[in-house]
Amino acid sequence: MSELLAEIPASALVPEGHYGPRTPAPGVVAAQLSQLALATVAVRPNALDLVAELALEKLGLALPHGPRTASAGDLTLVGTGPRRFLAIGEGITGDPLLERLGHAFGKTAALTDQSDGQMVIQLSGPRTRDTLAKLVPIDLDPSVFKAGDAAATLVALIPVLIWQADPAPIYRFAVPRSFTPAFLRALVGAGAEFGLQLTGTGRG
Amino acid sequence: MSRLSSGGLIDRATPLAFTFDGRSYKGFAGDTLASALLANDVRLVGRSFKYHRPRGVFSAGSEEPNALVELRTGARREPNTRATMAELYEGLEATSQNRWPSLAFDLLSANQWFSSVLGAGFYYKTFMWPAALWEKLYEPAIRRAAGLGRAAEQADPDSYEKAFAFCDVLVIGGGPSGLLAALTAGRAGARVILADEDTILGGRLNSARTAIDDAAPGAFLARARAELSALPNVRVMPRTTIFGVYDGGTYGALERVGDHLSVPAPFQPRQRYWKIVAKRAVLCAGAFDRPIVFGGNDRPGVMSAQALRTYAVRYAVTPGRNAVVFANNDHAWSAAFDAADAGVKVSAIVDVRETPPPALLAGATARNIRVIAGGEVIATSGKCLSSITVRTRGGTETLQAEVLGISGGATPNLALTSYFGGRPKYDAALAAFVPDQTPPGLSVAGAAAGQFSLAQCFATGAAQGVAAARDAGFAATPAPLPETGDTPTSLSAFWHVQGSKGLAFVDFQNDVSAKDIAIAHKEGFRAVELLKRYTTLGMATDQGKSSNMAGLAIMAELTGQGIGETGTTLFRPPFTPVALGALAGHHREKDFRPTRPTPTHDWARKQGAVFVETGLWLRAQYFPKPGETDWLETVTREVKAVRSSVGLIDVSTFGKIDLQGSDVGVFLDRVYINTFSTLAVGKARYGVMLREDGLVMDDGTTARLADDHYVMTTTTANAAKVYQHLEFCLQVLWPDLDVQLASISEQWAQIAIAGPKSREVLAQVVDAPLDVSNTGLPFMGAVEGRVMGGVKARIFRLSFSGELGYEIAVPARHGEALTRALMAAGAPFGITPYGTEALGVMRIEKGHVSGNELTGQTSARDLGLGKMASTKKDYIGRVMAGRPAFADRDRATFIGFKPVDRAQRLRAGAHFLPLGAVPVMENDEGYMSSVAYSPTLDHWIGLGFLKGGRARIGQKVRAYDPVRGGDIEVEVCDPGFVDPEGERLRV
Repeated sequence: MSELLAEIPASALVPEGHYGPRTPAPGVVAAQLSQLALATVAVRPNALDLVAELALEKLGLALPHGPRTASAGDLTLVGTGPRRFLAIGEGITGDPLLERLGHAFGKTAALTDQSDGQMVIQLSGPRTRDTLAKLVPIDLDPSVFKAGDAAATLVALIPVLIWQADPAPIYRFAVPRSFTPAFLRALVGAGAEFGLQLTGTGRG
Repeated sequence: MSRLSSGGLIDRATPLAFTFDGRSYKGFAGDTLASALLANDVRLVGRSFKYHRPRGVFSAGSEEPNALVELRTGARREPNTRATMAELYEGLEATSQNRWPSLAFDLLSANQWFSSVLGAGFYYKTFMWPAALWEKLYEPAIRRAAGLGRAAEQADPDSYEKAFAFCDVLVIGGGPSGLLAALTAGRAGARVILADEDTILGGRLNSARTAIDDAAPGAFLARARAELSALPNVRVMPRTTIFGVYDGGTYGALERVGDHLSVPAPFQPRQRYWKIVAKRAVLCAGAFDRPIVFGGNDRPGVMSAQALRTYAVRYAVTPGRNAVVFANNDHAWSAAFDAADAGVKVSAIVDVRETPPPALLAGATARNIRVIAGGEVIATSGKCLSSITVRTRGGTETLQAEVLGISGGATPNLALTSYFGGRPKYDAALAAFVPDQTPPGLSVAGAAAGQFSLAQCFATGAAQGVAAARDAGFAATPAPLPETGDTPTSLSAFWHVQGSKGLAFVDFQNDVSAKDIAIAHKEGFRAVELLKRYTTLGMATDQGKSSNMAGLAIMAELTGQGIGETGTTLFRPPFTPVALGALAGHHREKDFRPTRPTPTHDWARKQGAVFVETGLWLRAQYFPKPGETDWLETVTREVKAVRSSVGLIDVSTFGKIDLQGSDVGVFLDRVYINTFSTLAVGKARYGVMLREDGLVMDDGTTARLADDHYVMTTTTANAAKVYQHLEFCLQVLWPDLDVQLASISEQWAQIAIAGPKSREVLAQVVDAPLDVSNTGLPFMGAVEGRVMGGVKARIFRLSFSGELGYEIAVPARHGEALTRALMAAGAPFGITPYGTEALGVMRIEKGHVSGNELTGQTSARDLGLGKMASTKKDYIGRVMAGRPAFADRDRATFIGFKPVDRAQRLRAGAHFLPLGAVPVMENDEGYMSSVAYSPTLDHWIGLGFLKGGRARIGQKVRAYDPVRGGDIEVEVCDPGFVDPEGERLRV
């Protein structure tokens, strides 16, 4: 356990702030994002083709095949399993997102609000991959895992969804709400070596 | 000082102060503790394990058997650190171990006088009588006498990390073959990781003076290192030991990030444990110089010939004033020549061979080194070596020597090749085992493959680099090899000097002598694995890296079998010791595993809650008030408040699963023993699901919110397991069903209120037009609506406590606000927050089953729930639940208990016996699963499983708990202690 975490209760979010050596710019910038709405989209049996058509027509979005993401405007779909997706709407809340998806997909898919169930944490900065090497047991080399790729995996015993949002690179994690304190502890422990700036978690 | 005036890879501009056994010394950056001690004329470094014999530095690498020290002090004290691997840093503190009162004068060195009775397995033979003394006297005494260092007694203040890396080609070892393999694969564009346990790349080239491309090896090394660091696809990991090979091309590696510093750099771990996944790997781990077995071969000053070379060339140290080399092979001559050329006075080479190669004889002559061909060292003398006795063709002769470099030949470092069960094969020409079958994806190059000469190392390294890169999909091409003269490598197999004087050691670390091998042979422990266990040959921290071969060879001589037929023990990971801290990484103390707070955690903390871990969750256990002296007092108050007025508890930890689709009813009918397809919209039902084997998996309530929309709750413990089970059913068993699942455990906070006043409290937080009256929301009703002025909510009229009760679910972010709103609304009624303890008491009072009863060994009938099982449909577990044993009348089934003497306390875990029966297994009739002090009844009550179950209501049995000293009479009763008719639920 990193010394930095010794005084922070394991049940609390790691407070926002700078962790690790003071460098001109932090090596990693971590942000817990708010203003996001999330929903699972579970397509009914034999309706995948129809949903793909509806997604293109109503949302302007090519349904991702496999563990990939697809975005149109403020809406992103992440493939999380066969016939399953996590929808992420930026700048809106759960109900409007469900309405929008419901309008698009009608009865072809089951929709479930997850806006309170999953926290989204974004990582960027020059040492992001070095930090993730200590957390994620998958190969994030740009030749293997590219912008638009996604994976369901484990970080420090925590089930997460990771996707690369930008080649910069920017990565995002969806973390179950109650696991967020533990996820942040692992993240800060891993990234502090490079100087980690954390925002969005409150003052503690 | 024994530091040579020039040369070496040390930085003479950076002197470093250090202490050993409290005395101050100086070394240089680039030294190891071993080289710095030798440079300071410290030759006695440790005491041996069993005989406490003085020992010095034997090797210059990770195979070191002797020079084990305690490094650092206090909480960072680390025992059994190999001085040959400890890089010197300013202020390093080292202490010798396993000696008393001092390293120079160790009382237990008297052990060696009794070596004739302390041979292999002595403690099995010698300390037999009286038997009673074994545990109390003999074993403790032997353990105290035999040993290594002392572990730190405080928590490790440093941090450790785990990390993951991926590559096309992993090169293990950065010597000549590893460098060529990495360069070749790297140039082809493959992602290469080159891991080397040393501080600097180069392996043997850092210790040799052999010309490469007509220049000293340093020039080649500088070019190679520069090229590797310039290749963006190559990652060089120094101070990194590959310690294991696992499935799927996974390699375990330990990076010593901060071991070379007094304390790790800020925010840096001490060590980092890597899992490296490689498409291909090339093992270039070199070879060990093995000792020859002869009397007194363990004296400080006796070291491997290659170590002598390394100390002279790499560290510019002459490890004693007069060096002699005793060997059976050419390579040792090269070592002697390099040491001499570096400035060490090498006075003689003793070679067991009658006619060493002429080129070597010429080399010796040129350096004025005397050659004793056909000679053997038969004795040594001095506490630290001062002279040796050599048997020559003409008789015996004593030579002055403070250093004796010995070499019985090279043993390929092939440990990793046998981690998948591959058995090394014996190569008689090399007198060594070489790799045979290797783990998938791993090939071997250089000395590790028995290709000992420098030219062979370059050639096989490059070839394996090409092959590995090609296998990984890269068009690698062989490049011109560095030019080097082929170093001579011939040898004549030789293991053991017959008729030498004194104890002749095979394994220095475990004090196994040639005599012990003979004992093992005589007593029948001849197979190599038995030999190892009986004599301890090849055990402990060095795992026989240098010693195994001679031990096997001596056993082969004794049995008359060949060495190949005798075979070798298989190596197992880790290659070198790995600290537990590194394996744990981040996961220690608070971070041992994730902690999951509930949505109302902060609120509960402010109320003074005491928390309890339930799985990963942290739940409020009870809420003590000032003046309450123990938990039972608090819990009793909480229970009474619920039963008399109203209480509140966070039940968000229950698993919650959203089910949508036209076939959900059909699906639930198949996974639950009871029927759900007939459940009306707006209603909830308690359900029990079985495993395929007919035993109960979980229970909970499921509500129907719409024709095609249900929500299921599971127990906290089984949330993930039930979800996984449902996924399995849908993906594998019935993929045609129109059912879509989503876990909503984290999405919804769920707060339960219970007690006769709970409706009045609830009514104050719901938004119109939601009707929570007894008609609007009857028992087992489920509605969706809004609370607190617009927050969407699901309200279920359910009860675990047995009182009128509701569970209100809101999106998790509103969980705390809902709690505050309910607390405010309930203030006039004295609403009382309660925890898992009170919840448990009330469910026991009601006779509800919970985790203590859902053990994975109980059927629905065992739990008294058999009547719920539908006979009109099929469901998972139905057939297996019909097995005769489950219907046996004598089977222990669920029932209640109360003490006959109501003042007595019950204990969960107590076993039931008929009154008057002796407490033996044959009389066992079941056990108490849950107990509580019932504030409602004012005495202890219990639930459990009793042979015959309900048929025995009214009988008395004995509750026998020898573990906690309980032995009382209890009365068998209905498990519904409070409101058995459930009238309070329906008010």
